[in-house]
Amino acid sequence: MNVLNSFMNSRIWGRGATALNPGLVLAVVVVFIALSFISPYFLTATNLLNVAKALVIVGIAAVGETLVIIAGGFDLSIGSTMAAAGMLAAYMLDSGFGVAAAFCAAIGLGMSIGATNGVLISYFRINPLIATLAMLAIIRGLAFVISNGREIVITNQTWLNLGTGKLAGIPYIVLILVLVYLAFLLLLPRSTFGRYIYAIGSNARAARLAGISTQRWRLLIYITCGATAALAGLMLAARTGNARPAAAMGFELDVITAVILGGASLKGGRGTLLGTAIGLILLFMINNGLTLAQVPSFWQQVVKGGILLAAVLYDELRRGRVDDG
Amino acid sequence: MLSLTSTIRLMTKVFLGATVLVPTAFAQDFEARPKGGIPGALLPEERSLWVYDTGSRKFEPTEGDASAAYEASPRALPDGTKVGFAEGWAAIPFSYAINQRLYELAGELGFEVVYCDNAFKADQAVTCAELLVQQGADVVIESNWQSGAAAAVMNIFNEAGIPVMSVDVVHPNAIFLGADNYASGLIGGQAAAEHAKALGRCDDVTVLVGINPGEGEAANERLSGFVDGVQTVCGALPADRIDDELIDAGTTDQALTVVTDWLTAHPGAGFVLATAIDDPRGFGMSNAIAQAGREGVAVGIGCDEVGVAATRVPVKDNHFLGCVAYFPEKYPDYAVSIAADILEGKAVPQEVHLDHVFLTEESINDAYPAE
Repeated sequence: MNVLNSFMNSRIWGRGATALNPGLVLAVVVVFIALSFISPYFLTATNLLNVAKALVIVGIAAVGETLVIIAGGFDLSIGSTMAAAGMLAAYMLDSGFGVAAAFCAAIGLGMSIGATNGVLISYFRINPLIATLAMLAIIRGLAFVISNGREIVITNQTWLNLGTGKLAGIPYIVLILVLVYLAFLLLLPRSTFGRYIYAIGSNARAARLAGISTQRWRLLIYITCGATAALAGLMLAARTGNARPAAAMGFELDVITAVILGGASLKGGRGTLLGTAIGLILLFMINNGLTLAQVPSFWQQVVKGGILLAAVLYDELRRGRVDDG
Repeated sequence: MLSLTSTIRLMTKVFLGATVLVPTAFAQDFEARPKGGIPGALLPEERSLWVYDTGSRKFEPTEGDASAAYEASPRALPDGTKVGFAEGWAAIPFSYAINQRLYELAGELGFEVVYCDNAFKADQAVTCAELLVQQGADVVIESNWQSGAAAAVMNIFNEAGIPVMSVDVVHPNAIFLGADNYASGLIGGQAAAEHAKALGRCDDVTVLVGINPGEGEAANERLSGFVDGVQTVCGALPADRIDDELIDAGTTDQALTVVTDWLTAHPGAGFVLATAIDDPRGFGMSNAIAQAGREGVAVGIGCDEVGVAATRVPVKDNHFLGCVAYFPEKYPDYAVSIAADILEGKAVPQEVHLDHVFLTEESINDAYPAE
C-alpha cells in the first residue's frame, strides 16, 4: 500500500496546473490489462490500430477544446464546426476546386467560427456556454439550409485516402493525430501562447493587470479551437466517405468528456494535452474493449459514465488532500 | 409572396436537386407508379440472383428468376459460424425487436453473434465494421442507416472477404434485406386517405411527410409511396397541398416540435395526413396534430413497439391511425436464412423484400396480441 501511495504521489506526475492524474494513468493500465484477458481480440496490433483510428476525430477536436477549457472557456460549437467544414470542402470539390483549396477554405471557415466565438466572449463578454451554444445552432442550421439536409458523397480519392490509406502500416489519420499532438505538445511549454493560456485560465484579472491582453489571447485560443475542429471535420468525412450537415452531432460531449477525464478543470487554469490524450485512450479503449467483450451497449454507457466519475472523483479527492496538506 | 425561408428552400431544391415530393399529375384520376431502377427499391423484374464469390470477394450475378418472393428458412449454420450484427441503433424499438429475435435464433440454432451498436452514427458504423472483422465474423448483418457511410463500411468488409446483407439501407456489394419501401408507403397513404374519405374530407386533404435524405433514396420511397397512396384514393392533389419537413434525428420529440411549428405556419391546412420514415416520428406527428387541436391523422411505418402501442389507442384520442407492419421480429429469420444460403454457396436475390400489412386499432391484436 505504501508503495502505491508513493507511486501516486511521485514527482513524475508533475506539480500544479500541469500535473497529470496518476489515477487516470493507473486506470489506463488496469483497463488495458483487464481487457487483454477478457477478449482474445483486444491485444492485437490490428485492434490497437482500430482504437487509434476510432479516437482520431474526437482526439483532434479535443486539442482545441483543451486549450479553451484551460483558459477558463468552453466551446460547444465544435460539432457544428466539424460538419460545416466537411460540407464546405465537399461542396468545393464538387464545384471543381482542388483538395488543397477546399481544405484551406474549410480550415478558414473553422477559424472564422472560432473568431466569432472569441469576439462574442472576449469583447462582448457573453458567457462562453451561451455564445458557443448559439453558434452551435446557427452553424448547424445554416448547413441544413444550404444543403437542405442532403449529404455529399465524397469521390475525391486524395481525401478518401486520408481516411483509408496507410504509411508503413499506420493509417494516415493516426499519423495526422500524432503530428497535431506533437506540434502542440512542443509548442505550448515553449511559447508565450502556452504560458498565457494558463495565466488567463488561472486568474484573468491578474493576467490583465500583469499586462497580458486577455481579449486578444482569448480570441486566438478560440480561433485555434475552430481550426482543430475543422480539421477533425475533414478527417471525419475522410473516414466515413461523406459530408453531412448532421455529422458530428453530440461530439461535443465526447470531446469534453475526454478533456475533463484528462484532468482539465472546468474552472480553468488546470489541464494538459498529455492528460487529454490519456483520457482519450482510456475512453476509446473502453468503447472498443466492451464491444469486443460483447457487453450490451446500454451497459457500456453505464460503465463509461462510472469510470469518468471515478477518475474525476479520485482526482478531486487527491487534489483536496494535497491542497489541505 | 414567398417568405425568405420558402425562397431559400425553393432555391436549394432547384439548384441542389433536393428531395421534392410532387404529384405526378393534376388530373382527378391518379395511378400509382413506383419508379424503377432505384437500388433497394428495385421492381421484381429488375432483380438478379447473386452468388458470393470468395475469390473476387464480390457477389456475382447468376442465372435464374429473382422476381419471386423469397421464402425464409432459417436453419443451422456451419459449425463455429460467427454472425456479425452491426445493430442500427440499440436505443430504438424497431432495432430492439431485430436484436431480440436474432439472439433467440442464435440460441435455437447454435451460432455465435458478434455484436456492435452503430448507434445511428456514420463514424460508429465504420468503427463497428472494423470490430466485426477483428472478431472474425463469417457473414454480417449490417444495419447502418447512414447511407453516405455505406461505401466506407463495405470497403472494410470487402477487404476482409466477408459477405454482407444490409438492412433497409442499400450498401454496395451487399444483399439488401428490408422493406418494400414504396409499397409500404402506398399502403399507409391509402389507409390514411380512406379514413379521410370516410369522413368526407378528401377534398380538404393536405399531405405532410417527414423526410430525411440521409437515410437514402430507398427510404424516401416510403414517403413517395405515401403521397401516391393518398392520391389513388382522394385523387390528384395540387402541389401546394403536399409538403415535406426535415425530421432527421429519428426521434418522436423532434417530429413533435417540427410538425407543431409546421401546423402553426399552415393554419389553412385542412385535414392533415402525415407520415415519416418510421413509427417514432409518425407518433410525434400525430401528437403534434392532437396537441394543436387540428384535424387529421398520422400513420406510422414499421409497427415497432411505439407503433403498436400507439395503434391500440383509439384514433380519436391520439390521431394515430395505425401503422404499416414491417414485422422487424421476422428480419432475423430472413437474415439467417440468407446467411445459410450464402455460406452454402447458393444463389440469393440481390434484394429480399418483406410483405407489409396496415394495422389499425381493430386488427392490431391479430398480429400483436395484447399481453
